[in-house]
Amino acid sequence: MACCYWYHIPNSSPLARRGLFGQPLCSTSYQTMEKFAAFEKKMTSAGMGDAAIRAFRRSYEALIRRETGMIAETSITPVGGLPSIGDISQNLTADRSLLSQAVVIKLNGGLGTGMGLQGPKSLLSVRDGVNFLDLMARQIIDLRTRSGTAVRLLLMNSFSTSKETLAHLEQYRAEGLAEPSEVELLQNRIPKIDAQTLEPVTWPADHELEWCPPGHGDLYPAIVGSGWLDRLLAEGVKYAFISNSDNLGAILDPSILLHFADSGAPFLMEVTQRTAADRKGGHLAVRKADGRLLLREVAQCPENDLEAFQDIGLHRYFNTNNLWMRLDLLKKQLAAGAGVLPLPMIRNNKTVDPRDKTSTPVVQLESAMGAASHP
Amino acid sequence: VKTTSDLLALRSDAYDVLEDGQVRLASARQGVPPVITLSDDYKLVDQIESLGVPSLLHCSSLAVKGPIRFDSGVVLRGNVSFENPDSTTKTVHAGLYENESVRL
Repeated sequence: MACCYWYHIPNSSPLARRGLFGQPLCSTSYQTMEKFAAFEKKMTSAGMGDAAIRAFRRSYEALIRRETGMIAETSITPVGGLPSIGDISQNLTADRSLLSQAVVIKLNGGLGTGMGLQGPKSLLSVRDGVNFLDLMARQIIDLRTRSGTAVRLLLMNSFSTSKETLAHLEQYRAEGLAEPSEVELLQNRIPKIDAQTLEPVTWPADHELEWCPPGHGDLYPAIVGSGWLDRLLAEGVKYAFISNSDNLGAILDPSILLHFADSGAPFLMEVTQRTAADRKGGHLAVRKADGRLLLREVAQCPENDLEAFQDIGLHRYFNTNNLWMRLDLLKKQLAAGAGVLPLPMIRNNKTVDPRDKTSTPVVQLESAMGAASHP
Repeated sequence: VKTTSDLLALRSDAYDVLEDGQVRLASARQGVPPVITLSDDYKLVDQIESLGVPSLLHCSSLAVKGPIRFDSGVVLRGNVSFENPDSTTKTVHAGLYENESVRL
């Protein structure tokens, strides 16, 4: 495994005001503002906060500008050597003062629909009576016991996983892992967009289908909108370790925490070499325009470049989605960017009812958490 | 864990689930996970649940094609494959299967 880190481009930099392919962003037209009003109204009446609305608005404006979100092979070069985990000094005894400033965040918004499950994927059993969620709880309890610090665990749940996840956590009440106000960071949801009219889609047969998850890039608006960012900072927590709840190998490594703290970087991503099994997963690359690292997901790859995308000898590293973040610097970055991180928009074309291919075509906008590396 | 193949490997003795919540590849595997290929009969969790879990500790690769069910006590070593061309489920009986292609 290797790590890479970089600084956010300050918002004052001209780069921050450019689109993904370097076109200057045009100012928002009156027409766009009018169109967006319907989305804002829909989100407000569903209880979404300002941070969520602003983040969605930014993606929506990119859609209106007809950005495709594509990253062409000709615009990037492969990533060379990155610092390896083997080069970091091993620090097996967890540093108490650093750990007491750390929070472990697990992305737990996913349903196991790909495997035919109705409920949260993390409730899938691994051994008799032990599921992914139990393992996460045990890992955090073990870390707390070993280090003698109350490392926080936050689960970023979605509307579809919150209830069942919290019900399962009841058994960890004695360990302080059951109270929603202590363990839950609730994800937002965003309106699906009618592909023809670019207005909010309506689906009277099932209004729930008018909404979709915003991708894990929603971590940023969710952590701000929920008040967790300010609360964690007030508690003296400034290092966040974030990973997917279905990644059982993603355990807070005190050596990486120390390395990250020493580096002073706002953001660090754990990456690893792609294998034959990882051809479809997103990869790292260097953007030719400014020499910065970026992530390219398959949805952002033009069809003609798919061969290069899948060439694991060319694009060697993939994002494990284990990220480290400095919360104090995130707060500054958000303040500088009017409360929004300029994440690249990922566009997915679907139908409003995913099981009915003849239902209204919609656009679902997403962003990736790891893309905060290249605003 | 993204697929039912990942889940089958994880539920087998190829991995150790420790008390502290850590999951590790069993040391006998020397860092190499088993390569599992399941036919479309096993896309869903319910379907691998009725398949059963063989011992994969010393299994390099396992391929399953068609509906089968592992009895408890099935041990696989090396490269093993099972194929059932029928649509009715066939049972793989307890015992050692080592570097062989079994047609049921």
